[in-house]
Amino acid sequence: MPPAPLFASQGAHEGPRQIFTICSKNYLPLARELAASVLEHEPSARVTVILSDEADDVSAISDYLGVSCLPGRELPLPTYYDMAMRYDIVEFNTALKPAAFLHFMDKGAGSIVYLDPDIQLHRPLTDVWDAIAEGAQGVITPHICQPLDMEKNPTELKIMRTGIYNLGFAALANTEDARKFAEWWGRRMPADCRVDLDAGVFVDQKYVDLMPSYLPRTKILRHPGYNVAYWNLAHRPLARATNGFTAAGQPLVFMHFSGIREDKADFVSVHQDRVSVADLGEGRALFDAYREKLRGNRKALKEAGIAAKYAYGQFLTGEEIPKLVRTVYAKSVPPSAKPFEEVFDLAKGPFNQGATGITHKNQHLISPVMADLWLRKPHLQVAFNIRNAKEAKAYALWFVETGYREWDIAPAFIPKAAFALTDEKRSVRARMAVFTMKLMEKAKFFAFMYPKPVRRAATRFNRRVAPQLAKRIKTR
Amino acid sequence: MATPTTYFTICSANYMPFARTLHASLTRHQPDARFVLFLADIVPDDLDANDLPFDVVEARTLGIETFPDMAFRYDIMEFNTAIKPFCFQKVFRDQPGSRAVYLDPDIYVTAPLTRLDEVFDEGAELILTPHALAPLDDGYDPDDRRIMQTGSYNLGFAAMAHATDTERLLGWWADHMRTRCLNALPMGIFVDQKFMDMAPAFVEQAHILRHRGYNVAYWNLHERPVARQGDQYTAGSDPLVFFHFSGVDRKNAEVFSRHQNRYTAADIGDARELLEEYKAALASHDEDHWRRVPYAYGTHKDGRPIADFMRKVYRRVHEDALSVDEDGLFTFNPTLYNHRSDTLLDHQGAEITRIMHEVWRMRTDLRTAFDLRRERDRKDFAAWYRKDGAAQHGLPPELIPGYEPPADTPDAEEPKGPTDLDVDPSLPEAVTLVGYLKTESGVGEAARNKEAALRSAGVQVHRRTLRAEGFANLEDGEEDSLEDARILYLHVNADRTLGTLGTLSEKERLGRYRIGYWAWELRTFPSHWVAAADGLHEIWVPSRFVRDAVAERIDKPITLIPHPVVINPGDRAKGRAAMGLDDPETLAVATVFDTRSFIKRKNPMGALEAFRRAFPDPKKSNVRLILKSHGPLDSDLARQVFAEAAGVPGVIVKHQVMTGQDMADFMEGIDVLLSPHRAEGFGLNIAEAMGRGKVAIATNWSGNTDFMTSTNSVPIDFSLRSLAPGDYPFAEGQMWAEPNIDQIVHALRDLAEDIALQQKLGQEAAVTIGEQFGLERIGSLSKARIDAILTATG
Repeated sequence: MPPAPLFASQGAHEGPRQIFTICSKNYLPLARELAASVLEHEPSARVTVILSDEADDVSAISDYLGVSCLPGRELPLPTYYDMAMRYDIVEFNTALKPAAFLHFMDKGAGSIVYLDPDIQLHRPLTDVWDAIAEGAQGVITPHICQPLDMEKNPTELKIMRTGIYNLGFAALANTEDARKFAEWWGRRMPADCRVDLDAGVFVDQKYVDLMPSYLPRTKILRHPGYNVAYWNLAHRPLARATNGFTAAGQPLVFMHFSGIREDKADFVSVHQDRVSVADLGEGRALFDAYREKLRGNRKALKEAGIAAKYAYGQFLTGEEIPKLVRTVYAKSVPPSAKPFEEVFDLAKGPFNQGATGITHKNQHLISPVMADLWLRKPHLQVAFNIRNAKEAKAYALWFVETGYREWDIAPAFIPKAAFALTDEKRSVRARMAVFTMKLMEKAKFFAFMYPKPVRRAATRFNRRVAPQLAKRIKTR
Repeated sequence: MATPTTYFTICSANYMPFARTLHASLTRHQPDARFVLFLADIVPDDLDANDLPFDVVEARTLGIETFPDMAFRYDIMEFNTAIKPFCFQKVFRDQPGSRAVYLDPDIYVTAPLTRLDEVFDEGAELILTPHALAPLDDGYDPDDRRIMQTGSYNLGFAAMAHATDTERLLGWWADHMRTRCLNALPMGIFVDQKFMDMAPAFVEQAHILRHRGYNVAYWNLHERPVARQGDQYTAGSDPLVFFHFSGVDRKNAEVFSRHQNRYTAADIGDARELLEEYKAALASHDEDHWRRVPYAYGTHKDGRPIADFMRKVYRRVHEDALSVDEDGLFTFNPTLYNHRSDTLLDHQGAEITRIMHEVWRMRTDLRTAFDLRRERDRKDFAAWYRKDGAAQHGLPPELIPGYEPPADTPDAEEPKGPTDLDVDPSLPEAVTLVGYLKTESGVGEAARNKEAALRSAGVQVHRRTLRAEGFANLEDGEEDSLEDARILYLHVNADRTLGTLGTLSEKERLGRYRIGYWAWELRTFPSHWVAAADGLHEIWVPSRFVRDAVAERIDKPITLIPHPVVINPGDRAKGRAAMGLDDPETLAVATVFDTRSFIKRKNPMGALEAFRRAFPDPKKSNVRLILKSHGPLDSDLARQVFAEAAGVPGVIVKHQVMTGQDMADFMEGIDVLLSPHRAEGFGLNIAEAMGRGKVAIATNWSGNTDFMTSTNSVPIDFSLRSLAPGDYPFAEGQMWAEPNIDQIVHALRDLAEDIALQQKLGQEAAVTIGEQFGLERIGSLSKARIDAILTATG
């Protein structure tokens, strides 16, 4: 990087330092540990937890965290609730990041740092502040600074598909260029913050591959002490030194415990098979201590009487929102500025009307959720051709007899007309077939009572054979 | 003592004139530059490499252990990019500690590359240029997402200094290039280029060069316009150093680059002069000759071409590189391709070979038509492949299962096509109407209205219904009639005309006087569609705008028969309730579009901008904009329109298919229809709104000018602008209208404040539409022409 002109970043780093994270209520214990570690090592920074969730009592959460808490709905994001439905919890949490940066820019922060809630600070972020003071307008950390391999997970290729830089950390200076970058990034969030690797999209993170191009004076921070996690532990062995830990021989600044399980001591991360606990060496103590903190925080959450349930995980009437339903919503509803009560009203959504794209007379029997499941499951496509009216009816019959329980889809997402099919008069043979289908399904339902081979057979029967049976009942 | 620098490029023999042009342009500005051509090919017999002004190194001498495997695995493009890291390694092996600069053969140097030395001297070990320094999100290709898929940095340029980090980077990169230099975007791979997204992470002293004069091309002209000052060119604020003519098309003066749809040659400012200069330079190096020089690794030993499908089969079977000698690999080996496909479980009924499976995978149409998991489809696909498929894709007969050389038989006589235009006078005086008569869509409704108009005038009409994929069908309605009629009226557009004629039997087609009803939205009719008129006697069009466009290209009778505008009674209160409007005083402005057709033509972004500027506080002004749309949300541009709309106060989005009655209620519920379109064939939505006494604000250009005047609506001034290639199909050389947004802002404010004006314009509008486009009037216009035809052919 060429030396920065003396006054190039005037004003940028002079305003207050803002550090923030974003999480839903289920992650509050992690955010609490992050907040505590930030307060310890960056006592002069402003610290905010943005709550991507609903809360009756924000001040209680704030008290629990020990830092200020800002409900996500107060961010400058007109399609906030639409996004809460469109995206699953992970996508949604990441989708708020650009708007949060812009919010803190509006509030006059000088430099702004985002940290994932599963991060723990061990030393001050000196290199970040220094980079900004020298003129950097953005600071990001690569997942890896040396090649991995193609043998274990994550492979190099997986990192190339999900993003070169890990967005568990990002810093922006409050400059005109950085604001423009955040606005561009933010424009993608209402509709395109999804996991769609085939299309080259991975939440908010993949877009930041373009930060070094679109934001002048982006600092790629390769210091091994920043953002240590399973993806780079192979190159950054942890060790205990006199005044704290080191990573690859350099002072450890922050750990990113991505994919950790607070109840599993022999486990590094759910997302990988690269590093085992045995590989952690002296670093194992870090993981153990962190898990201990989380357990304590979880207990304190209970004592504070804060419910951890995600408010955007179910409809107003209580039906859980599976991923399938969110996908259907994303495909058929454009981004829009709707209130919570409207978005989460099951009756107002596109969920149990006939699916678009089917043109025959039995279209009304196939809801978008049913069509979406069909599109994802090759064996269902072989069993039924739902573009054909007769076979669509057979598919609907299979769905209401056993299919929806097999795939755990609430009846609310199935047209009433499809349930009415079960009332149709049937031959003795057909009734026998339905009886068999239900019996086998029950065999799976009472799984705990039966040995494994029986359970397997029941699952197999329901997924492969029952569709064929349903087809015969209706098409003969 | 300066560190030595080697400039090099890579190409096959057919690109020799590009390499020579690059070399000449480089040495014009840096006479002492050391330049090497790495030839991804074998030096042709008729070329003496010593005659060339630079060193030539054949790729096979680079010392790649699995060289024959790479030459066979990759097609010519992939192979050219795959050897790049090996070339860097070779330069550094020959001259340790030196610097190397790679330049694509289609680069043209206009100034010395001095900035590179400065950056190297400051300590850089790797220099890369980003594709763009500012977002590409205007709806054209390439866009930000394409760049995210193909790589942040353009690997038409890379400069390295030999050092520990770069040596490690090259080793890693070369290792991937042996087998993974593919165009496989879903896997996150794009030839050699995408891997270099990792480079700034792996090389501490990587420098991302933001000088705008380096690597100027179609992907960054938006942020660095090229201008000429005397002898010098500039790119943005920097002097131009080298231009990358990626996708250049020497034969077509209008084309700037084939790989994009943002610019024509006319849109690139002074860069056009440079483009002309560059094409002339290519021609001076005898490009016409070289382009036909065969590729050494493009054929088997026996001269038989290596089809891409063969390379694909090879890659799928041999995921890892094979260490086999060249003679073995390049000997034609039909058993490799004729082996049953390994990835298809079921071969019952018809065995699908590996090569057949590759053909199927590559073509979307085949994948839709044949589900290879079903026996029936396997048989049909195998039959198609045997009869047409193999030949269509240039595959030799040995790759057809069970192939035996055919016995000599004389060719059967060609059946007569639908071009026979004799009319049979004995056929009854009636009309067969062919169209989407049962489809629930705008096209379907237009066809039904035409039918009603004809019948109202007393013409005898028989139905012949076409089915449209992806739309709901009306289940009721009259059935088709097979009775004869002397006039065949095809209510399908030019692009569907020959296809539709093909679906009719000879008996239904021949001897009829055939009329097509054609619409088109731009000024010049596409030359691709002109041939469709061969199957017709006459063409009917909906507006003067379409008539002029068609008449310019087609020498057949053309009759202007507008669309009838049918006003089904609607319930205003219901329509407004569905929009969520509870105050009857609220002014409802609507703009309507379909995400399936081209969004840029309907210009909803223009409507949003005008509304935002007209009413910063729409609650106070008591105005709402209703964005009425339907169609899939699978384009980035469509999603952007809605994301934008969500941020404009007072905008209501209704994204859903509205059928008959709901649509009538909706149209009744609005007060103003805003259409800042760039072009319309007729403007049916506008006409319908006016027919209901609503005020139309619309661009005063194209089809809608037949019925819009300043006394019955608000026509908006415009300026004509060239289309970018991606704006619309057949956009080349076309112009369309850019409406004056200021004027729309004023019109919206005036209307919001002046109810009397609304009423006056609305009343006039209803009168105009009723007089011009009533069912009876269109019926009698049609009948007059039909009678004349019947008399002439009787």
